[in-house]
Amino acid sequence: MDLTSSSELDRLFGPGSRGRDPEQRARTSSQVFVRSQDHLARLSPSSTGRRLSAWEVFHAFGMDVIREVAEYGSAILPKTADEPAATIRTRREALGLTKENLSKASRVHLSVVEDAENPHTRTPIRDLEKIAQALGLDDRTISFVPQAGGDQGLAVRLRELSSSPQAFSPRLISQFCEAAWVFKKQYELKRWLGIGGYGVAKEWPFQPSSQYEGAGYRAWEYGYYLAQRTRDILGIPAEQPIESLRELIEEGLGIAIVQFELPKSIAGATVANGSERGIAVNVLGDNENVWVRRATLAHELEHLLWDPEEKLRHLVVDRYKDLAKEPRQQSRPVEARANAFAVEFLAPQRTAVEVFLSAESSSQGLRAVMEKFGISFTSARYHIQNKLDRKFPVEDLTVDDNWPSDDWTGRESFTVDYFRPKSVPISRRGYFAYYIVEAVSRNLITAETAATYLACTLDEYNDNASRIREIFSGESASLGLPVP
Amino acid sequence: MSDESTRASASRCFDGHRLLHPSREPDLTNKNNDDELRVIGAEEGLFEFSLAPGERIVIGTGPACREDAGRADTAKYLWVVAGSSVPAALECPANGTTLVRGRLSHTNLTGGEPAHTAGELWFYDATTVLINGGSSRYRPRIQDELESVTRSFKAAGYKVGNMGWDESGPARSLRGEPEWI
Repeated sequence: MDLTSSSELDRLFGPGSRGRDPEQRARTSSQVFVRSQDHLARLSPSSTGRRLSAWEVFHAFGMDVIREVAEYGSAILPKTADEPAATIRTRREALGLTKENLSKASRVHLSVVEDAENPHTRTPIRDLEKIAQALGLDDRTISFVPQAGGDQGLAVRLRELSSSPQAFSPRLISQFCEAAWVFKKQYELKRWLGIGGYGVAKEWPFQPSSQYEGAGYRAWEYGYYLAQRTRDILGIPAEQPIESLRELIEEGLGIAIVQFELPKSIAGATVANGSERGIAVNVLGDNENVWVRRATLAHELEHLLWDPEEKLRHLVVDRYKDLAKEPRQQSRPVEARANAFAVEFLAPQRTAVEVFLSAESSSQGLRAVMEKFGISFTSARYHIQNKLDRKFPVEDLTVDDNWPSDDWTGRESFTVDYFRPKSVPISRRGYFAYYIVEAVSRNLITAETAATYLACTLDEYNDNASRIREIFSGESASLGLPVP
Repeated sequence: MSDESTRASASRCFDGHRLLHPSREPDLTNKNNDDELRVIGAEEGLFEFSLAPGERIVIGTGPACREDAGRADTAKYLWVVAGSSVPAALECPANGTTLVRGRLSHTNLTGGEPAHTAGELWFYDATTVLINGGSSRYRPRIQDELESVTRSFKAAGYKVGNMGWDESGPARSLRGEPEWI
């Protein structure tokens, strides 16, 4: 317990701050700090570094550093003389990236990367932040904490995959690192906003299961069971479509989603950063059709909700060719279970068949199932055919139009498609952006931090913050899920 | 030259700096105890900066990181360019101090009077000093002020380097080797 006196709290956080303890004072303080690679100081007319709120400083550096700023005018940040160079170089090498790869991924000049890895050089803090984000490190504590919160297990897994037969490209490795960074920051912002971090899903009674196949049941059958169980837990009746799966996952279950423009063979992935996980989903390739994207999200959701820890292994990447397989044809039980889960979760088979059979033709029936539940043509066809014991020849199950209607596309994709400013990368346009705006409005982070997180300019952020809030605020209250 | 004239000569080396960077009241935002405004005496370690070489000094090097700060603190001097003198003292006097804070503030060198610039200093040897602008009371306002005061130490006969200026203001830790002038 910190027994800092009230007068000292006034001195450290400003007399306008309120509360009995440092945390409350930091939350209500209007003090602005500024940091460089090596120092933290109070904002002054001559300082040009990154502006940070008292709350950010309190959480990143703690009270000793805040006291040092008060006592000496600034605080020394690097723990050791070779930071942050050592952390950056070690992390880059652990990921198997060259300096040129890192320069490209972080959008800084090669000479900046070289300087950042030189312990005798001071690098501009904004460049260090970009480098940290591209490496999946905590940009706030870089230089202050060796390794800067980087998940070593993720680095090892990415290195494995870069030398696997599928050979991950340097760009893909840095995209997954960025996803890990977004997840960490998103969960941190949620905790700060008091709306839970990662682990919301854990409060629901989902018990990960290592059962994939067994006597009397196959993996796809178990996937169907888990889908029904998930709907039961969430209180979603079988006849009710899941109107926005993205919203259900992010807001209802508290699991972060990052959307990316990934190579066209990759559908999605689950990514861990420490103990926190999220879903990375491709918006290119087959996922450009939001009905396919929903199946990808549902597949990844099964992994996160029901796969045991040892199966998740920091990073699990799913390719379209695996997700497109009919669950019964999928040879890998883990993926068969997830594929079956995905289709049954989105479109409970019994209800889907009722919809199908109530139409005048098989073509109309199939389209009706797709429209009602928001599932792709391929998923709908296999789903119906299997339930009806293949009474309908697969070649008779066709539709004239397999593209989703505008309302489905809008619900799943409008936060990406209509996001402003356009300079914000797609990977930052999810709920992450909403939490950022909310955190600024509560003085938890500075507008400059917001712009840094969104990778846009401060002016762009200020011009668009209210619009970002409007995009998301309509969604949040609409789920109506039971409280776990 | 007598000690007194040596000190007066040293102080005159800072006159150009005084002209360029006017004196100001100390920033007392962080004052916590009344005795932070009490001028200490020679018995508590106060002395006026003299022309090089420095006498009866504690030798030490500046910090490069947090882990290094404790070691560096044992040989850290505070200095102030006051109106007509350049008082200095070890921040943590070897014989201890009665100050509530447990160590000196820059205002213990001035009594809270206006001054031009202040900072920290390490004697690498009797004629070599490393300085910075570490002071919450009389912090250098711009980089030129730090460079100007560095030149004044040079004019007083010292080989001198400073810790530089970064995006937060005057640096208080060393990054690489200082540029000695």
